[in-house]
Amino acid sequence: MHQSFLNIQRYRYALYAGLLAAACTVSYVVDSWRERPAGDTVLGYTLGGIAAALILFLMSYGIRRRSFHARAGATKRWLSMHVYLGVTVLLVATLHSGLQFGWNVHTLAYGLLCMVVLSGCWGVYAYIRYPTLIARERGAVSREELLRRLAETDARALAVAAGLDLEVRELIADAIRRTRLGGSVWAQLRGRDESMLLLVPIRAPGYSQLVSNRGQQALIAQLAQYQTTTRDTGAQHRVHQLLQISGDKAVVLRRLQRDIQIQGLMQFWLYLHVPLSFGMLAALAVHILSVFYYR
Amino acid sequence: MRVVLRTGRVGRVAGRPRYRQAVLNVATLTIGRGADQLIQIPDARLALAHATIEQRDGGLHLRVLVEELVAVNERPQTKAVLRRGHVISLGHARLTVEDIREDGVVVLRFDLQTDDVAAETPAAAAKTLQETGLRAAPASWTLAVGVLVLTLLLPLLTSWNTPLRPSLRDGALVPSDALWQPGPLHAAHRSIGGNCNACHGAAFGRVADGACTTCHPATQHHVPVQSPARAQFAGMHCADCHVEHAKPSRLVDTGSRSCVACHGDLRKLDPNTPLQNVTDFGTGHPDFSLALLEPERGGGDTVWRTRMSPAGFRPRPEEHSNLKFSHQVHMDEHGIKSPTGDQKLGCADCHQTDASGRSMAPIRMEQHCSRCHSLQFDENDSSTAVPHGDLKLMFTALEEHFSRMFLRQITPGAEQPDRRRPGGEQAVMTRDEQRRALEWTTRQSLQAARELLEKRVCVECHTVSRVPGAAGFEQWRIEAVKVTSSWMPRAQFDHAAHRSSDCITCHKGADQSRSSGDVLMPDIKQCRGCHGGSGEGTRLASDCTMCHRLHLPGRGDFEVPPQHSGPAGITFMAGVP
Repeated sequence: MHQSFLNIQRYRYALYAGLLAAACTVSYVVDSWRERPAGDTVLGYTLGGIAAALILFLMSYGIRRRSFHARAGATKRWLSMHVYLGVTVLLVATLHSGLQFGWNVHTLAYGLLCMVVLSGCWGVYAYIRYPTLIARERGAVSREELLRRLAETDARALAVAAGLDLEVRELIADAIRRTRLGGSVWAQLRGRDESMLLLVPIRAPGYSQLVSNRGQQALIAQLAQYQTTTRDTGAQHRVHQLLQISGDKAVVLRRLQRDIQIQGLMQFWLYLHVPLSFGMLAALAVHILSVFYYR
Repeated sequence: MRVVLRTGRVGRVAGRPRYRQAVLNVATLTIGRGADQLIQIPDARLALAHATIEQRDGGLHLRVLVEELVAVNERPQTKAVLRRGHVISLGHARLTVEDIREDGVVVLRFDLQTDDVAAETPAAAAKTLQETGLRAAPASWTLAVGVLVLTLLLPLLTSWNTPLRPSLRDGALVPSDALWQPGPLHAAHRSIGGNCNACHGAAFGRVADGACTTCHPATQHHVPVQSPARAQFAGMHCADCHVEHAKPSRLVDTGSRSCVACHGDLRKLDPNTPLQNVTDFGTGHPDFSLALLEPERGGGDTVWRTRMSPAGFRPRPEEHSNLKFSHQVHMDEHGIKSPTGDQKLGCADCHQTDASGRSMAPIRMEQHCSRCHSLQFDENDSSTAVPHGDLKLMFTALEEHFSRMFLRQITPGAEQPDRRRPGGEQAVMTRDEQRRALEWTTRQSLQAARELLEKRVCVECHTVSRVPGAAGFEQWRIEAVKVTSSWMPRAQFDHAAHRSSDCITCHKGADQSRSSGDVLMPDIKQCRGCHGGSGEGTRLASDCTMCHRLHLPGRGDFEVPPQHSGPAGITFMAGVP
């Protein structure tokens, strides 16, 4: 069986985290018979202390991960510990809260912790799911190779179009110019083909309009229309070639867009996880301080 | 706006140049590097949306959307009103205003200075999140500092008595130290408002007792302040038992730790205490014991002393109220004889709560009994009722009655006093007449008294005895009656809260009781049918304060220990040993 960060050393860290979670839950249940669960009972302070210690330990993973001396095996173990204890800390913090929430800094710290853990869970999902998806979408081909193929189809299209009317040349050039790949964070994560095309009526009256060239569909339709209007067989053959090239380009473009999207999703959770955890750390500090400031 | 956009000359027709042209019907003509622009110029020097051309107020207006200037006829501008012949330079592209026709149609010519389509490539765009400039560190700093400013700095500014305090506390949605509240104030303390410092004094110090006694100065102690037990409370603070900002909202820490901390093992504090230990109502509470009134006949008057019945009602306690009463007779299901025929009585006919609804009002002869238990000695004359409650008054009433009869010369019996002599302007009785009248009156009164006391009326409910050696009215004695009104004086029972239940549910067997000696109070098992301990899940969770109070009346003021200030260590509920 492949050793991932989840099943490393036969789920040893899952077992440790599970034992801690079970101990906290049992204490909570037993104590709740005696007194109302809250953060300021003896057990409440204990659980709070455990949760705070866990949080500091979990956040130190960011430093350890960058450590120059860390070996790959060790890093994997740290990650395994980070994941399992990260899920456990949410449980411990929930028990510490006694399920008392309100519009205050205490609930803010808890809410941020929830978001940190949820974004971490997304990260776990991303690490398990997306590499498989990337392999399926891209195959063994690298992104650079795909980009090279894209440039190649564009060059071929321009070469073929060179022998055609200016309208077609302009059309091909415009389609290349207005092809969109990547872009803003939102555009990358959304993964939609936002390519455009300025449609200028060919040999016909009418207005120009800017339309979506998703999947090169608008270009292909326009080329097909042009093919029906020309009588020149040489030109028809070239347009036929252009149609094939455009189809190829659409496929390459789609694979690139999916690749950018999945790679983006695989990284994006960390851009939530890290800032949220620092915000949570600040809120946690204020939570602890304020509890003892106004006692 | 209708724009004819000419792009590239395609030849000459009849001596005039011919262009490839497109007619655009738009509100605003957008120009820039972006794919969403109507005129897209692939030049890195231009912004995604660089400029617009708009027709308004009869003019054609160029507006530059970026900080840079755009050359119109080689003169840098930020905005311009375009006229025929104007040439706008945008990167390597040139836009010429060829014509603005009478009907408003604008003719523009678009030229790329290097019209080399082979150089076209997809516009360079970020293909990874890194390339978009997304970084975790700035976001982390922003979030952490934002949290610190909003939830620490602003509340601290409120807490330190800065000039900002009022505006921060009064402003809705403005962060203040209210953000630190773990829960809202209890309803009883809402009038304090948002002023945290009304109770919270020095930073990192607990709420001082003085903050409480400012508004609650006469709070009573738990034990008599003169007793040695007071020493057990040395060093205790209000906040040891009282909580605020709790959820659900409450003022007393009803968790078992406050009361049970001491009462769980009282012998530890006082080896000689007569009190029993309590840990939880459901599982560790002593059986009930009743405070029964016991008559003690000293020389003259009866003295009532309180005697505690054995706990758990074993043996069955007996009340000695000196009253003869059978609940069974009075609550006969067929009714009981009354002046208006047979009447069925219910509990509430005699047992009524006081105005608060919590406790039972005393039962009074005049109010509850006298309608049936008439005190008339002449059954046919309602004016012959004697007063209740005092034998002397009764005898006086009898003597008055018979004296009046004598004087009016109306004699109920065969024996008649002498009639007055006729022509009696001489109304004064002779000494002999007076003596005879007194004899007659006394004899009649004693006879009526004997009838009332020993045969018909009083004896039905009261214990009537004769005092040996005494004569006249002195010879009778009625034992004083006192029914226990507070059976469990240390507990607070609320009848109003139990109104939805029948009386008989708790006062079991009341309708079958034949003797007034029967104690009809429920025992703890009865209560535990519905009430469980404080952590109870299935029954009503009942903590100590549901029935008991800590600050007992008449104990003396709870002393305020010297104020402690400054930072104190972390202590978990100082009351817990």
